[in-house]
Amino acid sequence: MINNVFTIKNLNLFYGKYQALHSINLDIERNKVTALIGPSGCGKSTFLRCLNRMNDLIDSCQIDGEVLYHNDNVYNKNFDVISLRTKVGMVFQKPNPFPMAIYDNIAYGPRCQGVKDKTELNKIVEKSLKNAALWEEVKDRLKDSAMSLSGGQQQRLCIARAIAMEPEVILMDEPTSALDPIATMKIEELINDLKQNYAIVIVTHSMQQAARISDNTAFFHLGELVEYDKTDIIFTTPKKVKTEEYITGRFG
Amino acid sequence: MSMSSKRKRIDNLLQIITYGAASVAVVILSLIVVFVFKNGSGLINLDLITNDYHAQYYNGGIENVTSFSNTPKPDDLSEDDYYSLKWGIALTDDIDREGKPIIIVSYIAEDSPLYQMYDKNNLDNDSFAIEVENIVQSIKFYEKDSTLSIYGAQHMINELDAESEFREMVFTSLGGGIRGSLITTLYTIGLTLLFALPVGIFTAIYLNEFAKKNRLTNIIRSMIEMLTGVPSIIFGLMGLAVFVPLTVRYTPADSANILSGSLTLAVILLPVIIRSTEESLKVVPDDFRFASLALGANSTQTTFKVVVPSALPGIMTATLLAIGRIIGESAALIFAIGTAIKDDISIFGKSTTLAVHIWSLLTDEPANIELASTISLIILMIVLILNISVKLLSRSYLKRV
Amino acid sequence: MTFRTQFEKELEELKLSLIKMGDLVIKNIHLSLHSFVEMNAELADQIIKDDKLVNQFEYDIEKECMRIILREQPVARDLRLITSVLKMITDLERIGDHASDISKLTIFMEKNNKPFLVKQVHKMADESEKMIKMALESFVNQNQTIALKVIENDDIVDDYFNEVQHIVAEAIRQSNIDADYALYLMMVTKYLERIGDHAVNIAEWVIFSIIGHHRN
Repeated sequence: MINNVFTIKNLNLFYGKYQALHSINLDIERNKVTALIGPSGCGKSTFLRCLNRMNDLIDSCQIDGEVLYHNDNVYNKNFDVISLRTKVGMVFQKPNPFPMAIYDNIAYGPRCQGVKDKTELNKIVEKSLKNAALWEEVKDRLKDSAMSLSGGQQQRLCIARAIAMEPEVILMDEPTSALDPIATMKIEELINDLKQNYAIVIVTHSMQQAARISDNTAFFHLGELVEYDKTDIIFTTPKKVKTEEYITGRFG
Repeated sequence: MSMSSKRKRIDNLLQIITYGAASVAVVILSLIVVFVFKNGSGLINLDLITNDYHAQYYNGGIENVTSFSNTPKPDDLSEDDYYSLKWGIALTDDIDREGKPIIIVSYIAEDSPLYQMYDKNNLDNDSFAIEVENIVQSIKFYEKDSTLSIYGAQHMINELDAESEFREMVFTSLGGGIRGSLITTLYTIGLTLLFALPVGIFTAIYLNEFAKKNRLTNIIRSMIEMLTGVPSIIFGLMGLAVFVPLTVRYTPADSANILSGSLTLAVILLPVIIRSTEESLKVVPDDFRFASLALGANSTQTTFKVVVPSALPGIMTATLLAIGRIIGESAALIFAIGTAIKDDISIFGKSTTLAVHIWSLLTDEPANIELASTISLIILMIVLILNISVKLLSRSYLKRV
Repeated sequence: MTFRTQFEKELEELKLSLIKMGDLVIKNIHLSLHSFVEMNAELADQIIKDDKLVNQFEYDIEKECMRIILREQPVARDLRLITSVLKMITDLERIGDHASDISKLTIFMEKNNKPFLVKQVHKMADESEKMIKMALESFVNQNQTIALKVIENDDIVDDYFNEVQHIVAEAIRQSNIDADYALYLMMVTKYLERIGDHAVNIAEWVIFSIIGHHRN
């Protein structure tokens, strides 16, 4: 129990009348990388967004079941969503830095939480950029616009921005699908370093990526969790036929 | 006829229509500019902008002149400038806007005794003096006939030079200046923006960022869109019927005034500002909003720290275009501010903006096309400066970000 | 809808190559024993040359497996299949070597050695040939039962080996057998027993490819 940051119990999700998630039961382990794989439209991104309640932004979305973060159901009426999101960060598929200076991007989160002291902000910015393996490349131009960075650098900036909040969990929705192979490799190495300190949940379309970087893998299909196990097992001796058919590419 | 040659004919026809339409547009626009330029450039000078419109009449008296001028006629004066050595003043002939002959002061020496003239109408007036460009109407002497402007400058100078004193000098200021209207326009711009921008921008922010996406919001939005198409004269009617009495009641105003005019204009501009601000906000990608919320910011912080700054170039453009509209608005203001051209301006008083001034000049008998064209030129220049500022501001903002 | 028809085709061809390699090896075992019994040095020579074909098969199949790993990035069942093939061709190649070794003995033998017929030796050859065939069949059909049978049948080969040993030892005591021939015969028998062991290895890799781990 103590090793799980999230415990999901019987999660059902509806967009209006359409049921997108069926009875999902899953544990997310601390300090591990959990990959969510499955064909398009199978619900993995939807599931990911339940963990930091970003699904709230969709009006027709209804939730049934429990998403327990440290034994508290995040969908309770009085649950502090804002504070949840400071503890559960998110990185998106398309890098989306704000059109501001690099420094201001990283400092945005802390500033919103009330941090004003210049020295403290400087420390946070430096630490986040170092942990995102971006410091050396930008330390002399923190006041430059974030838009002047390359795609891969922008994505690492978004990771740094998320880390600046010192979250416990980092959610990543296909973080490398818009990047070239070298940038992808850098981010995969970064994820490997990050898991020392954070639990990471990553949605990916690439089976090879899931096999490379994750410790646990969850296979979703048509809104159901078909199989969830250690990555080694899923990719060498999966237990469910559907899982094997998907990962060997026998169906898409 | 084969397919390809029929195709070619259609293509050619379309090309001709396209080029033709463009040429027509360019030609017409150029003609307007050329017309305004030709008629108006004659009157362009700094005095036009700084002078009063209404000519001021002055009656100057002088007593006991003891010392006279010694300044010889300056070299830069021409033969047409008739100079009096004694009095240190040069006069020249000219014609006014109606074609009548007038006499203009072209030079006054520093030691001219005319500086000792006093205001016969107001003995306390210390700052009374005759100036270059003033028009001398007549000089009344003690023992001989007055000289009038119809006799010409040379005659007047000769008569003056022959005397050491005179009863009264009647002269007027040039007038025809548009200072009053210019100031009015600036006041109007300021007040209108003061009322319209905050209300408009925040309404747009509410509609786009905070309001629930339901039928009611859509209805409100449609109604605002409809208002952008309402002819402004109708708002002028509203201004006359509502804002004028309102301001008369609660402020020192006692008739249509700049304040009521600005309020009317603000109402005209409100839908436009709301709509263009909303468009600028819509263009901001949702990615930014998601990123901000995912970092634990609430909607207010997201809106005001991320979305609005991103939309700023669009909002700035909208503002500057609104200013352009303010300058050009005339129909509504005829009723909401009035048509009296004034020289001393108060926001509680009547006045005219530049556009209404033009209207006023054109409804005179005879219509003063020249001055109207000049004012049009000035307006065009202001609009040109505004457009360039929009481009420069947008570019520099985008470069920063 | 199934994808990867190209991949499926490649896997089928891989299996086919493996069968061909197996058939060649089986033929060589049969012929090499025949050449020993007949003391046919020419045939033996031919078999030794043919072993090069077996080696070529190993090389080609190995290259094909590497290519498939690179291009198709196999996982799960496919991955197990490819890795099993890589291991099985090693065993097949060793079997080929043993057949060749038997033929080399034939060449060393001198014409004047008197042959001594032991039918258990032929039975061993037959049985081990059958085991190889069954193992490869169990691979193609992914049939665990048949693979297990192969592993069981190794006892039969081992029993035959013991029988031959006793018979030859007795023949030596009775001086019924030429000393040189006896030694050669034992070596042949030993090779045949080793072939059986390799067939068992193949069967065990088949089971691995089916269930995903080695039995204990």
